[in-house]
Amino acid sequence: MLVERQKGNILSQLKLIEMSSSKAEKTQLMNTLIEQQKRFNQLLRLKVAQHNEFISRLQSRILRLSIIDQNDIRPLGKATTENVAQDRPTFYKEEINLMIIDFLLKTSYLNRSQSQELNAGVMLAKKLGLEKQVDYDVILQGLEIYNQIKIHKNLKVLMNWCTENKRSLKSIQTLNNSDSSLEFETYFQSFIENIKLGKLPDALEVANSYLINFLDINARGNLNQIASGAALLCWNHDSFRNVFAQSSKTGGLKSSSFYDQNVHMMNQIEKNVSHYNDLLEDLKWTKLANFFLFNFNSLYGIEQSPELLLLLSIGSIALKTRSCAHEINEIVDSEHISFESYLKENLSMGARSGISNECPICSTDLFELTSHLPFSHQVKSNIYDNSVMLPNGNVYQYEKLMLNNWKLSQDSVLESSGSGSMRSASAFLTSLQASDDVDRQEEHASLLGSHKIVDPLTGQSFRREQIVKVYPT
Amino acid sequence: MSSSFKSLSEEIDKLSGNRSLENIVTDSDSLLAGLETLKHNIENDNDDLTSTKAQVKSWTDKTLKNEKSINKAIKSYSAKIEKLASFKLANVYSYQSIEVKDNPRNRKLLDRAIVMDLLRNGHFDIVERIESERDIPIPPELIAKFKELDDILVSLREHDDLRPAIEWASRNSDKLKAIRSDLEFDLHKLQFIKLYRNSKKSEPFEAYKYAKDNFPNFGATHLDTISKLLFSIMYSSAASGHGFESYLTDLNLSNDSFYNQICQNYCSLIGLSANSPLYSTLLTSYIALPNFIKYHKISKLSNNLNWTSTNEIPFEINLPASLQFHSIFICPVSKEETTPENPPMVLPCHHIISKESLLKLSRNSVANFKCPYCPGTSTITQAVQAKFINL
Repeated sequence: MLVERQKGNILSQLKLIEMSSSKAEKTQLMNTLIEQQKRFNQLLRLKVAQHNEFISRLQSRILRLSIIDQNDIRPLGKATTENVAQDRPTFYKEEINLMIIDFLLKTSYLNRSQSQELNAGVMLAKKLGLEKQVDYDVILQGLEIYNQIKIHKNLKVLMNWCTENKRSLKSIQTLNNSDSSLEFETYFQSFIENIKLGKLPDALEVANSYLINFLDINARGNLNQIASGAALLCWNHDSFRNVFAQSSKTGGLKSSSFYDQNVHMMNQIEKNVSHYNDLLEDLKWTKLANFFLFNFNSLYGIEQSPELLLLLSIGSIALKTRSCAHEINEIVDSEHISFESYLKENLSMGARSGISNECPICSTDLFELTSHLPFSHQVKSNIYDNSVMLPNGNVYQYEKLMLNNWKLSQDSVLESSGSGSMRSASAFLTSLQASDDVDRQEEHASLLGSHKIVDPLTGQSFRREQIVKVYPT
Repeated sequence: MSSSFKSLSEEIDKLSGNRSLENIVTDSDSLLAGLETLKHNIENDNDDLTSTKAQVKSWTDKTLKNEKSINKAIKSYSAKIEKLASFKLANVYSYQSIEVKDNPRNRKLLDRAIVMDLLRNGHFDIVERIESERDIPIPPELIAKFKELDDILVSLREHDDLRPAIEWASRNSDKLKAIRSDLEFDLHKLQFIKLYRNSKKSEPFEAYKYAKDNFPNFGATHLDTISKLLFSIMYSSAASGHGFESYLTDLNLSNDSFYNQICQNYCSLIGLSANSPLYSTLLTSYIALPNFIKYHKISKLSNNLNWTSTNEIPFEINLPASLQFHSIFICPVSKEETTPENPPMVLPCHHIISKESLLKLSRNSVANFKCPYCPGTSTITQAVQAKFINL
């Protein structure tokens, strides 16, 4: 189209040049022509750059995916998942970061004065070099239109967008088996708005030139809507409000007399009218905005709710055990969220002697968010072999208890997060001598009975013969 | 996966191989050049327009052809892509999910979790942005804590400088010991080895001095390692062949492993879990997702699958040991998971069953009963409540 226009332009200019007689005039025209052509080329370059940007996004994404394809990705979730994270640490880290970026983008608070570069999601994407992996501009464009509808009650952008994507919108509608289409809702909204503003001729104009197109497609739903909308033509918002004001007044005066006929009548009127009132409410804008975003997301193949939420739920359920529910955590019901608890925990850190809980579900970060999710289904005990019980009922794995008590000096970093009182130096040194053989159980048995064993959790110390082997089955 | 990946990548190759748009640009540029020549000619009183007209015509033809070709390419691309199996995450997951849309509190909670994750990764600029964008005040003390961590990590990562890390570790020596971390010694060890490697083999004095200054504090705990380290100095000039030369090289000395260890220990010391909860949970979701997909497929075939106990998903998800954070004990009698309300009880014969099963077996603590696993009999009073602890 662009090309055609430019062609027409050039030809007409050339004709002018042909016809014009003076040299100065010719050069003049020539200059304009060249200017035009320059502008055209610039525009062209811009479009091509846009196109190439999308292509390069596609390419970089496929390249990233090829990393997992190469080694014929083994299905996650099988028993071989022992080392998902170790397998492709960067890949999963990036995936997770992408999800966070996606979430930040989809929930961004748009501010017209703020450029895209200052959006937290965009910033993070650029910082991590992932900007080609996420269509931040598309997501933000959707949100922009969404806000235009919801906050600024601006239908113009929406109308333009609908016209631009007419075909795709239709296929989305059939795909979803939906009665209403975004285009219809848009013009219907504009119809209502005109009524609200008292511009009845404009409203009729909208009805005649646009809404009429929707009558034959699926007659029932739209017809009813238009009919109810038409009712508004003779009743405006104020008259409804008057009715309600009256009814609440009467209701207030005679609230005690439930059997009063008047109240019933008023209730009836209220019920009849409420539907029309809904049409005039601001809430309808929110509905329209949501409906737009639904269509927008379907069009671009964007998940309706951020992947982060779904995957976080899935991960949480998988992790959530019945033991998680019993952490001491109070849920306060307010909108105020603070980071204070993180600081508080630090203070108590020094006094903490328990084994720190590494479970993500029990953490301050996620505990409350996941509190309403179902539990995972557990069918297997994961209790270690060779478990021993101390007299206080605490059950440990024997080797780990010994390791903890002996504190090996080998290079293997003992990643224990337990803490407790320090053993006496002499006990430690004696055990150190035996430490080289610590991984063989027979030798342990012969050593039993000669030393004190400290419970890493409570710091209590017991004699070795007090340890009993238990059999969780 | 693989087949659709292949066709997807082929389609992308095809689309990106289409050079029509570049052709249009070049053609338009040459047209512009033609126009400029014409202008030049006109200035020189040569106003013959025929060649220019021809040029315009050929440009139009070519460009339209190119336009058609790129449009066709895009169309065939999107048609092919449509055919690929589409996968909707939301369809697979049918349980309650975390909702933020109409729940401002949840939304803030999630924002907070993200902020914590970003802080752990040192993205302070982004955090600042989020703070102002979403109106969630973050206490500067908290940020300061993570800045300190970031400083340590940056100097390790970018300057290969261990000193800030060592300094921090020695300041928090006691706390690190309390969480049974060897980090402080390990850092000294790494520094020693670095000094040793950088020095000439025959003059390892700097490393020796470092060892003399720093290692004595760890004699009680790491004597064995220290002696091996110093032993390798003594014989460094000797030909390899004894075991200790390789001792130095075999150690995992990559900065990465230290990087993670510092991160984890630092977070433990400030009272947080070693790994970001958000990260761990999302990582878990990748493992769990196939189970959800599989269940979804099966449940589509048969309608009657929701047999599970309340508030529990009906299928098992096998997680690797590193992602199992709680000890899980399934009572061998009732096959139910023990909970704080229904704790595991150890019978005198040292077999373990859940409290509810115990009550049932003992008919509400009136009768002696036989252990379900061995001939031993016991009464309810003899049973001891147990608690499984994972070190």
